[in-house]
Amino acid sequence: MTPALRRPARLAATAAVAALLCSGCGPGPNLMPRRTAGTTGRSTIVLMVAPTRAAVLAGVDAFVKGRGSRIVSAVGTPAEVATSVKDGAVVDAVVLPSGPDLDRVRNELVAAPLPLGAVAGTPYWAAPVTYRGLVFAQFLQTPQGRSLLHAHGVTGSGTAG
Amino acid sequence: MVTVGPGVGDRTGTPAATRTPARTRPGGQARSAPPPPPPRAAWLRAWERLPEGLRYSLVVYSITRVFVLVAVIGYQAANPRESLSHSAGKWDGWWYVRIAQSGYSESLRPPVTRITDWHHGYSDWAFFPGYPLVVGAVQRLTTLPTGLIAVAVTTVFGLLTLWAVHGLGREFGGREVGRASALLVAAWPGSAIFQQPYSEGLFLAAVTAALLALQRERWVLAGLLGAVATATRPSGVALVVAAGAVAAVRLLRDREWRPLLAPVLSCAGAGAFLAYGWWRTGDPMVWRHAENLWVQRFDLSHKMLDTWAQSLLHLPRSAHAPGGGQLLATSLVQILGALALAALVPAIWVLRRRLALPLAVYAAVSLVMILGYSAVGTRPRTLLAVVPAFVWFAAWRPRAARIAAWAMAPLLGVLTVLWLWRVTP
Repeated sequence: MTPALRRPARLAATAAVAALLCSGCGPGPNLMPRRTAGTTGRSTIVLMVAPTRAAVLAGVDAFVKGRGSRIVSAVGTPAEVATSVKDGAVVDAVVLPSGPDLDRVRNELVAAPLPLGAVAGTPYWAAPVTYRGLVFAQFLQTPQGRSLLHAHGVTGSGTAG
Repeated sequence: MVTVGPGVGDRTGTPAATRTPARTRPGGQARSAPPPPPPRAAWLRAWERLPEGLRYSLVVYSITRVFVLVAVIGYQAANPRESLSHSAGKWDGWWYVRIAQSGYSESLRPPVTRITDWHHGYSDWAFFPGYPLVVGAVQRLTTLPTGLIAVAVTTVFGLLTLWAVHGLGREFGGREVGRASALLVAAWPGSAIFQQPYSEGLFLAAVTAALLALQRERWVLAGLLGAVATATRPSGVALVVAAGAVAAVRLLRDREWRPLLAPVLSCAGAGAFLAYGWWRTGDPMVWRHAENLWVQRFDLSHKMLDTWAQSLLHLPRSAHAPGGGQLLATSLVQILGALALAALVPAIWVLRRRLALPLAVYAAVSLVMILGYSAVGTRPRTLLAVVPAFVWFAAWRPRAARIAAWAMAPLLGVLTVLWLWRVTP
């Protein structure tokens, strides 16, 4: 390579590497699951919204205690939860209220959303993204799961989604 | 492909006397003419008509594939309950065959017929369409099973890759370098992927021929081949950057615009796929989001090095842990790749004044991508993408390259068994 060509070649190579680094660090999932319940087994990742936080976390603790498994969870707004699912976050189940955010994630689910009940008149759903998420969502519908949800302010049972 | 293929211009290399039958001249000189040679078999004539590079590639490809074949037969004998189609449909092969059969999903996560199917947790949008498009087209023409077609297609493109590498090596250092380069690629353990339903065959054939076209300043052809490469694997971006660097230099030095055709056309393949993904799912970033699901992040090999440390520093406990043997085998295979990369350093140093711009830029960007993404890592399969490295090594020490090639050829069989077992290719 002649000296006259070295400078533009170096500039081009630097620009290319910079562009590559930027593309690799593109937008990632919004919510980072931080709370871990349980110590053994493969993690099930659950994203939930604030109004159901206490009720669902009570269900999470009961689920891991009985099964020797682990659940990693995070709390966000309905939009943040739905966007995380659509952006490719590794998620097993999400808890969302009825409305546009639940509709956004419907075609990402492995099975129809399961009704959890209502908080302040708004129906909430456990939406399974994977089979492992479905197992957890189904646990919330067992008598034990329902009593925990009711104890934390979730009323009624809603209808199937 | 044919027009930029190696051996163009030298064709058969057979002396003219052996190709042209003796003719009787007027004037009674027929008695002194040599007797006509005996008629040759049709296959022999066809073989001699093939370009020299293709003939050599065919020979080394056939010989090295024996190791792969023996490994497959051995694995099947040890696992008689596992069908060949099941073996062929493992890992990414499952996704390519599925896309070839049914196209892409309308959502990020594919629909599944069983809720226990783990595939729903990933995405088909991470796989570029070039290879499944070819497989689907051939399947519709032949109506043979898609898995079988997928392996046959990639096997053919593997041969074309060797031919193109031969041409690239010949362009760089003459016939001996061309041959040594093709032999190195054929015997490199990662080339066992040419017998798996993976997109490497098509990608490498396209990208190598495109580099050759860039070297020969055939901009439109380089761009069209680049479009095939970027439609086949995301690492095709390295070719776009290389073509862009060449075009930028020509623009600055000679005020010549025509070389810009190569990078612009090269973008068309990836661009069409991204546009299609947007149209199909409504998400303009569906490919990037699929990469998130596959945990493909730029982490400068941090996770890969961490896995190496966990596997090797805690031996033998790590090997006996659940999935530990698989992790250990994966680490060892990646370390083999890293060592091969290290062997390249002296070759680059010795040849530093001869490195052509498109090859150097392409190799640098490919290496950044390989070393940057832990999920890719220094696996022998992924290192194949650094095609110029094989040429440089062959140009540096042609004899040593040939010896090294034959010495490592048996590893083709080892890697085939590992892939059929539980190690990700």
